[in-house]
Amino acid sequence: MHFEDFVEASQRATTFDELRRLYAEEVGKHGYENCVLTSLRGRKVEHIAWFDFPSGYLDAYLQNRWDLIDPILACSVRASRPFLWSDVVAQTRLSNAQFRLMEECRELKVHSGIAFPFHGPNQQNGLMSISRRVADAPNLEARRLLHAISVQTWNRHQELAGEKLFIGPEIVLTPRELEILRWCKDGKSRPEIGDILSISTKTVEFHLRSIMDKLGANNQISAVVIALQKGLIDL
Amino acid sequence: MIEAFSLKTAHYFGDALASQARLRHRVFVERRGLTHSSYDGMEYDEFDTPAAVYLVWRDQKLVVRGLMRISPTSMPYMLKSYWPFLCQTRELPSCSDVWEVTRVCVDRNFDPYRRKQIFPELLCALQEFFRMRSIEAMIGVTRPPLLNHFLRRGVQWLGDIAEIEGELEAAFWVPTEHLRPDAYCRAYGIAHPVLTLEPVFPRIAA
Repeated sequence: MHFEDFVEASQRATTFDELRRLYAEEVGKHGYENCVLTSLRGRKVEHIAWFDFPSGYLDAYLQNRWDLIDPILACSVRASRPFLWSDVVAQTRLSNAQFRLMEECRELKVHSGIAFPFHGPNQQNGLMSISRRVADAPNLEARRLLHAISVQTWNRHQELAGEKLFIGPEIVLTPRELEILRWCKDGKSRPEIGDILSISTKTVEFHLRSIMDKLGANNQISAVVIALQKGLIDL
Repeated sequence: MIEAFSLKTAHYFGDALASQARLRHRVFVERRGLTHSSYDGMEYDEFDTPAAVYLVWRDQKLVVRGLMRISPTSMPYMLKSYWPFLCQTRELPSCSDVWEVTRVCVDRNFDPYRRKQIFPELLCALQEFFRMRSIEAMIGVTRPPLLNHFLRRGVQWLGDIAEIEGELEAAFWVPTEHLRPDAYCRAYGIAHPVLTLEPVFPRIAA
């Protein structure tokens, strides 16, 4: 299928499964029988939208928590463009556990892959990855075409998922987050804030992490200072 | 087989109560590095009450290799006590016919061939237990990719994903009729019944 035809066909897809079959068929023509589309928050796996893997691979991946040591995932958040899995082995220092992981993947017929990272706003990243089920070298000639196909697939996936085109530039703290930040400004500890608001300390900590993420703060004090500077709370 | 016991019946199952606490310690305290309460290599919390039921898979040496803890939402439970903000699309239940599932773990150091069947068996046993007691649904918090992978139908996610103890997790509700992972049961030949309320190894009963 020519690339233009693939774009047209993928735009006609109305379900994730249709899109997956189209993508899998297209990358399969170039020798890549495995594929996966994953949504990430930072480098953590938020959602595995779809996949085509040999039987048992994803079970092993999820139950063994390979996502915590997967070097492909780790590299995807700092890659400026698509990369071969072999680039990761050649250019980064893998731990023994990561080498074992790559070996186990090969035993489960997941080889010689190419990763296509997508970097979004607010650490909402994506990763598409294709790989072979036999121990052949990656098809480098088709690499750029496969990238283009993956970009189109990712874009269509985002449209089907109803993702917003633009994320608002303003920082929005929820009423609860603002309330907690005001108590922080007044010098209350986390347990004290929990008592005042009749919520658990863990809940307070959860909200504080969200506040710090949104404000780009390293700690509670910085969060209060930034919020005061931006006029989100008053002295 | 999955054995089910509570504090009331634990004495029939020998060391199982302590063994499940040791597995929890290995998984949550040692491997994940969480600051959970523990003593002498056993993890515990305030939800280890007489109402809790432990579903365990034990090996031939009677070591617990897989575990689920379940409790009725008519008692205090984790989702309501710690993370009520995760539940955005329905009210948090407080009734005896919806139970919370927590402390789900499988020992990663166990034989990989046998280990892969443990979680599907736990889900099957959960459904059998729920049907015995006319429980209508399970509720809990987990990583969406994990639950979505095993249960292809019936999972209702109750709100947004959030970072909980270092993981991206969300609250879920699953009706009892959707608890059995059919594809895995076929693949691994998991037949009914899987659950027993009697010890599988009675010779070691206290």
